[in-house]
Amino acid sequence: MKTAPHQKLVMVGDRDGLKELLRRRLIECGWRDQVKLICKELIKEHGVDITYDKLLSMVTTKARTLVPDSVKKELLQKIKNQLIAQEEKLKI
Amino acid sequence: MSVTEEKIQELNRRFLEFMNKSENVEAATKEIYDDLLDEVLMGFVFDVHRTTKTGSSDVEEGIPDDESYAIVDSPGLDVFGHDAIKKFQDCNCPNCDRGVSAFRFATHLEKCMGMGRNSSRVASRRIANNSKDLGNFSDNDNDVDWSLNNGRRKRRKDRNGMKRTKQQKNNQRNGETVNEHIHSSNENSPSNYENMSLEDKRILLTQICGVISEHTKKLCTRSMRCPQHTEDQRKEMRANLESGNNIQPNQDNLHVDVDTYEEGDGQNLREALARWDREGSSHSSPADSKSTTSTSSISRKRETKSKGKGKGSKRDRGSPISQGD
Repeated sequence: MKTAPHQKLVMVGDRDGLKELLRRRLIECGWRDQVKLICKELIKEHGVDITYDKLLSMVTTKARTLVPDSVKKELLQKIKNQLIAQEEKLKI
Repeated sequence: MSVTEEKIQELNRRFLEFMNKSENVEAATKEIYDDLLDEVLMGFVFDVHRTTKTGSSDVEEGIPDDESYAIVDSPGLDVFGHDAIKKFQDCNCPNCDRGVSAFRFATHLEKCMGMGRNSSRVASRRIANNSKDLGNFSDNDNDVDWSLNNGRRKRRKDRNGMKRTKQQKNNQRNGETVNEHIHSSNENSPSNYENMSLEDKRILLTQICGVISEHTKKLCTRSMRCPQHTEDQRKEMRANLESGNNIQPNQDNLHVDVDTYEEGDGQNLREALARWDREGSSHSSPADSKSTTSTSSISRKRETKSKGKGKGSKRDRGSPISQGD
Protein backbone atom coordinates (compact mmCIF):
# COMPACT_ATOMS: atom_id res chain seq x y z
CA MET A 1 0.00 0.00 0.00
CA LYS A 2 2.79 2.39 0.88
CA THR A 3 4.77 1.46 -2.17
CA ALA A 4 2.22 3.09 -4.50
CA PRO A 5 3.47 6.68 -4.15
CA HIS A 6 7.10 5.49 -4.43
CA GLN A 7 6.34 3.64 -7.57
CA LYS A 8 4.40 6.57 -8.93
CA LEU A 9 7.27 8.98 -8.32
CA VAL A 10 9.82 6.63 -9.80
CA MET A 11 7.60 6.07 -12.82
CA VAL A 12 7.12 9.73 -13.47
CA GLY A 13 10.83 10.38 -12.91
CA ASP A 14 10.49 12.94 -10.13
CA ARG A 15 12.32 10.81 -7.64
CA ASP A 16 15.68 11.19 -9.38
CA GLY A 17 15.15 14.92 -9.64
CA LEU A 18 14.32 15.18 -5.97
CA LYS A 19 17.30 13.08 -5.00
CA GLU A 20 19.63 15.23 -7.05
CA LEU A 21 18.14 18.33 -5.44
CA LEU A 22 18.70 16.95 -1.94
CA ARG A 23 22.22 15.98 -2.76
CA ARG A 24 23.03 19.43 -4.05
CA ARG A 25 21.53 21.08 -0.99
CA LEU A 26 23.44 18.89 1.41
CA ILE A 27 26.73 19.62 -0.35
CA GLU A 28 25.91 23.35 -0.37
CA CYS A 29 25.24 23.51 3.34
CA GLY A 30 28.42 21.55 4.22
CA TRP A 31 26.64 18.48 5.48
CA ARG A 32 28.72 16.23 3.28
CA ASP A 33 32.00 17.53 4.79
CA GLN A 34 30.64 16.98 8.30
CA VAL A 35 29.79 13.41 7.42
CA LYS A 36 33.23 12.93 5.92
CA LEU A 37 34.94 14.09 9.11
CA ILE A 38 32.79 11.75 11.18
CA CYS A 39 33.75 8.89 8.88
CA LYS A 40 37.46 9.72 9.14
CA GLU A 41 37.33 9.72 12.91
CA LEU A 42 35.51 6.39 12.90
CA ILE A 43 38.09 4.93 10.53
CA LYS A 44 40.89 6.13 12.79
CA GLU A 45 39.21 4.52 15.76
CA HIS A 46 38.42 1.20 14.14
CA GLY A 47 41.31 0.96 11.69
CA VAL A 48 41.33 1.08 7.92
CA ASP A 49 39.85 -2.39 7.61
CA ILE A 50 36.42 -1.27 8.85
CA THR A 51 33.63 -2.60 6.62
CA TYR A 52 31.29 -0.32 4.72
CA ASP A 53 28.17 -1.65 6.44
CA LYS A 54 29.60 -1.07 9.89
CA LEU A 55 30.73 2.41 8.94
CA LEU A 56 27.33 3.30 7.49
CA SER A 57 25.41 1.99 10.48
CA MET A 58 27.55 4.03 12.82
CA VAL A 59 27.36 7.20 10.73
CA THR A 60 23.64 7.15 9.87
CA THR A 61 22.07 8.19 13.16
CA LYS A 62 24.43 11.12 13.66
CA ALA A 63 24.24 12.19 10.03
CA ARG A 64 20.44 12.35 10.16
CA THR A 65 20.49 14.74 13.07
CA LEU A 66 23.04 16.95 11.33
CA VAL A 67 20.79 17.67 8.33
CA PRO A 68 19.79 21.35 8.50
CA ASP A 69 16.10 22.00 9.13
CA SER A 70 15.81 24.29 6.13
CA VAL A 71 16.96 21.53 3.77
CA LYS A 72 14.69 19.01 5.39
CA LYS A 73 11.65 21.29 5.20
CA GLU A 74 12.37 22.20 1.61
CA LEU A 75 12.67 18.57 0.62
CA LEU A 76 9.51 17.54 2.44
CA GLN A 77 7.64 20.35 0.80
CA LYS A 78 8.89 19.45 -2.67
CA ILE A 79 8.03 15.79 -2.25
CA LYS A 80 4.57 16.66 -1.05
CA ASN A 81 4.02 19.06 -3.92
CA GLN A 82 5.15 16.43 -6.36
CA LEU A 83 2.77 13.85 -4.98
CA ILE A 84 -0.11 16.32 -5.12
CA ALA A 85 0.81 17.31 -8.60
CA GLN A 86 0.68 13.71 -9.74
CA GLU A 87 -2.63 13.28 -8.03
CA GLU A 88 -3.99 16.33 -9.87
CA LYS A 89 -2.74 14.89 -13.16
CA LEU A 90 -4.50 11.63 -12.61
CA LYS A 91 -7.78 13.33 -11.58
CA ILE A 92 -7.92 15.43 -14.69
CA MET B 1 1.63 -3.66 -24.03
CA SER B 2 -1.65 -4.58 -22.51
CA VAL B 3 -0.04 -6.02 -19.41
CA THR B 4 1.95 -2.87 -18.71
CA GLU B 5 -1.07 -0.67 -19.43
CA GLU B 6 -3.08 -2.61 -16.93
CA LYS B 7 -0.37 -2.38 -14.35
CA ILE B 8 -0.05 1.39 -14.83
CA GLN B 9 -3.76 1.88 -14.47
CA GLU B 10 -3.73 -0.32 -11.38
CA LEU B 11 -0.94 1.81 -9.90
CA ASN B 12 -2.71 5.06 -10.65
CA ARG B 13 -5.86 3.77 -8.96
CA ARG B 14 -3.98 2.75 -5.82
CA PHE B 15 -2.13 6.05 -5.82
CA LEU B 16 -5.33 8.03 -5.88
CA GLU B 17 -6.78 5.92 -3.11
CA PHE B 18 -3.66 6.51 -1.05
CA MET B 19 -3.73 10.25 -1.67
CA ASN B 20 -7.29 10.60 -0.49
CA LYS B 21 -6.19 10.57 3.11
CA SER B 22 -4.08 13.63 4.08
CA GLU B 23 -2.19 11.87 6.91
CA ASN B 24 -1.15 9.26 4.40
CA VAL B 25 0.35 11.98 2.24
CA GLU B 26 2.32 13.35 5.18
CA ALA B 27 3.61 9.91 6.13
CA ALA B 28 4.48 9.09 2.53
CA THR B 29 6.36 12.37 2.17
CA LYS B 30 8.38 11.68 5.30
CA GLU B 31 9.11 8.18 4.16
CA ILE B 32 10.28 9.30 0.74
CA TYR B 33 12.44 11.98 2.34
CA ASP B 34 14.16 9.41 4.62
CA ASP B 35 14.65 7.18 1.66
CA LEU B 36 16.31 9.90 -0.33
CA LEU B 37 18.45 11.00 2.59
CA ASP B 38 19.64 7.44 3.15
CA GLU B 39 20.52 7.07 -0.46
CA VAL B 40 22.51 10.32 -0.50
CA LEU B 41 24.22 9.42 2.73
CA MET B 42 25.08 6.00 1.37
CA GLY B 43 26.62 7.69 -1.61
CA PHE B 44 28.78 9.96 0.53
CA VAL B 45 29.89 7.28 2.94
CA PHE B 46 30.63 4.99 0.05
CA ASP B 47 32.91 7.67 -1.38
CA VAL B 48 34.77 8.11 1.88
CA HIS B 49 35.15 4.40 2.42
CA ARG B 50 36.39 3.89 -1.10
CA THR B 51 38.99 6.65 -0.90
CA THR B 52 40.39 5.31 2.35
CA LYS B 53 40.48 1.78 1.01
CA THR B 54 42.24 2.70 -2.22
CA GLY B 55 44.63 5.09 -0.48
CA SER B 56 43.56 8.09 -2.54
CA SER B 57 42.67 9.89 0.68
CA ASP B 58 46.42 10.06 1.36
CA VAL B 59 46.83 11.74 -2.00
CA GLU B 60 44.02 14.19 -1.31
CA GLU B 61 45.08 15.15 2.19
CA GLY B 62 48.73 14.19 2.31
CA ILE B 63 50.52 11.79 4.60
CA PRO B 64 50.98 13.26 8.06
CA ASP B 65 54.59 14.22 8.74
CA ASP B 66 56.65 11.70 10.61
CA GLU B 67 58.05 13.15 13.80
CA SER B 68 61.46 11.52 13.28
CA TYR B 69 62.12 13.64 10.21
CA ALA B 70 61.14 16.92 11.78
CA ILE B 71 63.84 19.60 11.75
CA VAL B 72 65.15 20.25 15.23
CA ASP B 73 65.46 23.94 15.94
CA SER B 74 67.10 24.24 19.32
CA PRO B 75 70.35 25.97 20.28
CA GLY B 76 73.48 23.82 20.38
CA LEU B 77 72.06 21.13 18.11
CA ASP B 78 72.06 20.74 14.36
CA VAL B 79 68.89 20.09 12.32
CA PHE B 80 69.01 16.38 13.14
CA GLY B 81 69.22 17.01 16.87
CA HIS B 82 72.80 15.83 17.17
CA ASP B 83 75.50 17.63 19.07
CA ALA B 84 77.28 20.17 16.92
CA ILE B 85 80.64 19.22 18.44
CA LYS B 86 81.60 16.01 16.74
CA LYS B 87 84.26 13.66 17.91
CA PHE B 88 87.07 13.89 15.39
CA GLN B 89 88.34 10.59 14.18
CA ASP B 90 91.81 9.59 15.27
CA CYS B 91 94.18 7.68 13.04
CA ASN B 92 96.92 5.56 14.55
CA CYS B 93 100.28 6.37 13.08
CA PRO B 94 101.90 3.10 11.92
CA ASN B 95 105.33 4.50 12.66
CA CYS B 96 105.05 5.87 16.17
CA ASP B 97 101.74 4.28 17.31
CA ARG B 98 100.32 7.60 18.36
CA GLY B 99 96.75 8.66 17.74
CA VAL B 100 96.73 11.61 15.37
CA SER B 101 93.72 13.63 14.33
CA ALA B 102 92.61 12.71 10.84
CA PHE B 103 93.05 16.31 9.76
CA ARG B 104 96.70 16.35 10.76
CA PHE B 105 97.51 12.77 9.80
CA ALA B 106 99.11 13.58 6.44
CA THR B 107 101.38 16.24 7.86
CA HIS B 108 102.25 13.97 10.74
CA LEU B 109 103.21 11.14 8.39
CA GLU B 110 105.32 13.54 6.40
CA LYS B 111 107.39 14.33 9.45
CA CYS B 112 107.21 10.96 11.18
CA MET B 113 107.99 8.65 8.28
CA GLY B 114 109.93 11.05 6.11
CA MET B 115 107.34 10.88 3.37
CA GLY B 116 105.64 13.73 1.63
CA ARG B 117 106.55 16.61 -0.57
CA ASN B 118 109.14 18.50 1.47
CA SER B 119 111.00 15.49 2.77
CA SER B 120 111.12 13.95 -0.68
CA ARG B 121 112.68 17.15 -1.91
CA VAL B 122 115.23 16.99 0.87
CA ALA B 123 115.91 13.34 0.14
CA SER B 124 116.38 13.92 -3.58
CA ARG B 125 118.74 16.78 -2.87
CA ARG B 126 120.72 14.58 -0.52
CA ILE B 127 120.95 11.82 -3.12
CA ALA B 128 122.09 14.30 -5.72
CA ASN B 129 124.82 15.63 -3.39
CA ASN B 130 125.98 12.13 -2.52
CA SER B 131 126.31 11.10 -6.13
CA LYS B 132 128.24 14.28 -6.87
CA ASP B 133 130.61 13.65 -3.97
CA LEU B 134 131.13 10.07 -5.02
CA GLY B 135 131.92 11.25 -8.50
CA ASN B 136 134.50 13.66 -7.14
CA PHE B 137 136.13 11.00 -5.05
CA SER B 138 136.31 8.57 -7.86
CA ASP B 139 137.93 10.81 -10.45
CA ASN B 140 139.65 13.42 -8.31
CA ASP B 141 141.64 12.42 -5.26
CA ASN B 142 143.12 15.90 -4.87
CA ASP B 143 140.08 17.14 -3.04
CA VAL B 144 141.45 19.10 -0.11
CA ASP B 145 138.84 18.05 2.41
CA TRP B 146 139.07 14.48 1.36
CA SER B 147 142.84 14.29 1.63
CA LEU B 148 142.88 16.20 4.91
CA ASN B 149 140.33 13.89 6.42
CA ASN B 150 141.82 10.74 5.03
CA GLY B 151 145.52 11.46 5.06
CA ARG B 152 145.95 9.35 8.17
CA ARG B 153 144.06 6.51 6.65
CA LYS B 154 146.15 6.61 3.51
CA ARG B 155 149.28 6.65 5.56
CA ARG B 156 148.14 3.57 7.38
CA LYS B 157 147.59 1.87 4.09
CA ASP B 158 151.11 2.83 3.14
CA ARG B 159 152.45 1.22 6.27
CA ASN B 160 150.47 -1.89 5.66
CA GLY B 161 152.18 -2.15 2.30
CA MET B 162 149.29 -1.88 -0.03
CA LYS B 163 149.66 -1.21 -3.73
CA ARG B 164 152.67 1.01 -4.05
CA THR B 165 152.15 2.55 -7.46
CA LYS B 166 148.77 3.90 -6.61
CA GLN B 167 150.03 5.26 -3.31
CA GLN B 168 152.82 7.10 -4.94
CA LYS B 169 150.46 8.68 -7.39
CA ASN B 170 148.15 9.76 -4.65
CA ASN B 171 150.93 11.01 -2.45
CA GLN B 172 152.52 13.04 -5.16
CA ARG B 173 149.30 14.76 -5.93
CA ASN B 174 148.44 15.24 -2.30
CA GLY B 175 151.90 16.47 -1.54
CA GLU B 176 151.54 19.43 -3.86
CA THR B 177 148.04 20.53 -3.11
CA VAL B 178 147.94 19.81 0.58
CA ASN B 179 151.25 21.37 1.39
CA GLU B 180 150.21 24.59 -0.27
CA HIS B 181 147.02 24.55 1.69
CA ILE B 182 148.69 23.94 5.01
CA HIS B 183 151.43 26.47 4.59
CA SER B 184 149.11 29.21 3.47
CA SER B 185 146.67 28.72 6.31
CA ASN B 186 149.19 28.12 9.09
CA GLU B 187 151.50 31.06 8.43
CA ASN B 188 151.12 32.77 11.81
CA SER B 189 149.05 30.29 13.74
CA PRO B 190 150.20 28.19 16.70
CA SER B 191 150.24 25.08 14.53
CA ASN B 192 153.19 26.62 12.73
CA TYR B 193 154.91 26.65 16.11
CA GLU B 194 157.93 24.57 15.27
CA ASN B 195 158.79 26.85 12.34
CA MET B 196 158.79 29.99 14.48
CA SER B 197 161.83 31.68 15.83
CA LEU B 198 162.53 31.70 19.55
CA GLU B 199 161.36 35.29 19.88
CA ASP B 200 158.08 34.54 18.25
CA LYS B 201 157.61 31.52 20.47
CA ARG B 202 158.11 33.62 23.57
CA ILE B 203 155.67 36.25 22.37
CA LEU B 204 153.20 33.57 21.52
CA LEU B 205 153.52 31.90 24.91
CA THR B 206 152.75 35.19 26.68
CA GLN B 207 149.41 35.23 24.93
CA ILE B 208 148.22 31.64 25.00
CA CYS B 209 148.34 28.65 27.31
CA GLY B 210 150.66 26.82 24.92
CA VAL B 211 150.61 23.40 26.57
CA ILE B 212 150.91 20.61 24.00
CA SER B 213 147.92 18.33 24.27
CA GLU B 214 148.56 14.63 24.53
CA HIS B 215 145.65 13.75 22.31
CA THR B 216 145.84 16.21 19.45
CA LYS B 217 149.57 16.88 19.81
CA LYS B 218 148.86 20.53 19.21
CA LEU B 219 149.36 23.71 21.16
CA CYS B 220 146.53 24.80 23.38
CA THR B 221 145.43 28.13 21.96
CA ARG B 222 143.33 29.21 24.89
CA SER B 223 144.16 32.07 27.27
CA MET B 224 146.85 31.95 29.96
CA ARG B 225 144.27 30.94 32.53
CA CYS B 226 142.94 28.02 30.53
CA PRO B 227 141.21 25.63 32.94
CA GLN B 228 142.06 22.53 30.96
CA HIS B 229 145.76 22.68 31.77
CA THR B 230 147.37 23.32 35.12
CA GLU B 231 149.79 26.09 35.92
CA ASP B 232 152.52 23.46 36.39
CA GLN B 233 152.06 22.24 32.83
CA ARG B 234 152.43 25.74 31.48
CA LYS B 235 155.53 26.37 33.58
CA GLU B 236 157.07 23.12 32.38
CA MET B 237 156.36 24.10 28.80
CA ARG B 238 158.07 27.43 29.17
CA ALA B 239 160.98 25.91 31.08
CA ASN B 240 161.51 23.53 28.19
CA LEU B 241 161.56 26.43 25.78
CA GLU B 242 164.10 28.38 27.87
CA SER B 243 166.34 25.44 28.66
CA GLY B 244 167.22 24.93 25.07
CA ASN B 245 166.73 22.65 22.14
CA ASN B 246 167.45 19.27 23.66
CA ILE B 247 163.92 18.66 24.73
CA GLN B 248 162.20 20.92 22.25
CA PRO B 249 162.72 18.71 19.23
CA ASN B 250 161.01 15.87 21.02
CA GLN B 251 157.96 17.98 21.52
CA ASP B 252 158.17 19.12 17.98
CA ASN B 253 158.47 15.58 16.85
CA LEU B 254 155.14 14.86 18.41
CA HIS B 255 153.60 17.61 16.38
CA VAL B 256 155.55 17.04 13.26
CA ASP B 257 154.42 13.50 13.24
CA VAL B 258 150.97 14.73 12.43
CA ASP B 259 152.18 17.31 10.00
CA THR B 260 154.23 14.96 7.91
CA TYR B 261 151.29 12.68 7.49
CA GLU B 262 149.81 15.35 5.33
CA GLU B 263 152.94 16.01 3.36
CA GLY B 264 153.63 14.04 0.31
CA ASP B 265 156.60 11.93 -0.56
CA GLY B 266 157.73 14.33 -3.23
CA GLN B 267 158.00 17.20 -0.77
CA ASN B 268 159.89 15.10 1.75
CA LEU B 269 162.17 13.88 -0.92
CA ARG B 270 162.98 17.38 -2.08
CA GLU B 271 163.63 18.57 1.44
CA ALA B 272 165.82 15.60 2.17
CA LEU B 273 167.79 16.13 -0.99
CA ALA B 274 168.25 19.84 -0.26
CA ARG B 275 169.47 19.04 3.26
CA TRP B 276 171.79 16.44 1.91
CA ASP B 277 173.39 19.07 -0.31
CA ARG B 278 173.78 21.44 2.62
CA GLU B 279 175.12 18.57 4.67
CA GLY B 280 177.86 18.09 2.22
CA SER B 281 178.98 21.73 2.51
CA SER B 282 179.07 22.30 6.29
CA HIS B 283 178.84 20.27 9.52
CA SER B 284 177.59 22.47 12.36
CA SER B 285 176.87 20.40 15.47
CA PRO B 286 177.08 16.79 16.50
CA ALA B 287 173.37 16.62 17.05
CA ASP B 288 172.71 18.01 13.61
CA SER B 289 175.14 15.73 11.97
CA LYS B 290 173.57 12.82 13.70
CA SER B 291 170.13 13.76 12.54
CA THR B 292 171.19 14.66 9.03
CA THR B 293 173.11 11.51 8.55
CA SER B 294 170.12 9.55 9.58
CA THR B 295 167.96 11.51 7.17
CA SER B 296 170.42 11.13 4.37
CA SER B 297 170.54 7.42 4.84
CA ILE B 298 166.81 7.27 5.01
CA SER B 299 166.32 9.47 2.01
CA ARG B 300 168.72 7.32 0.15
CA LYS B 301 166.70 4.36 1.25
CA ARG B 302 163.58 6.04 0.06
CA GLU B 303 165.04 6.64 -3.30
CA THR B 304 165.60 2.98 -3.73
CA LYS B 305 162.69 1.66 -1.77
CA SER B 306 159.94 3.74 -0.30
CA LYS B 307 159.92 1.95 3.05
CA GLY B 308 160.21 3.15 6.64
CA LYS B 309 158.71 6.51 5.75
CA GLY B 310 157.10 7.27 9.08
CA LYS B 311 160.22 6.99 11.13
CA GLY B 312 162.33 8.75 8.56
CA SER B 313 160.01 11.67 8.11
CA LYS B 314 159.94 12.28 11.85
CA ARG B 315 163.61 12.88 11.93
CA ASP B 316 163.43 14.85 8.71
CA ARG B 317 161.23 17.44 10.24
CA GLY B 318 163.13 17.46 13.46
CA SER B 319 166.37 18.40 11.85
CA PRO B 320 165.62 21.82 10.28
CA ILE B 321 164.70 23.30 13.63
CA SER B 322 167.86 22.10 15.22
CA GLN B 323 169.73 23.52 12.25
CA GLY B 324 167.98 26.86 12.65
CA ASP B 325 169.07 26.99 16.27
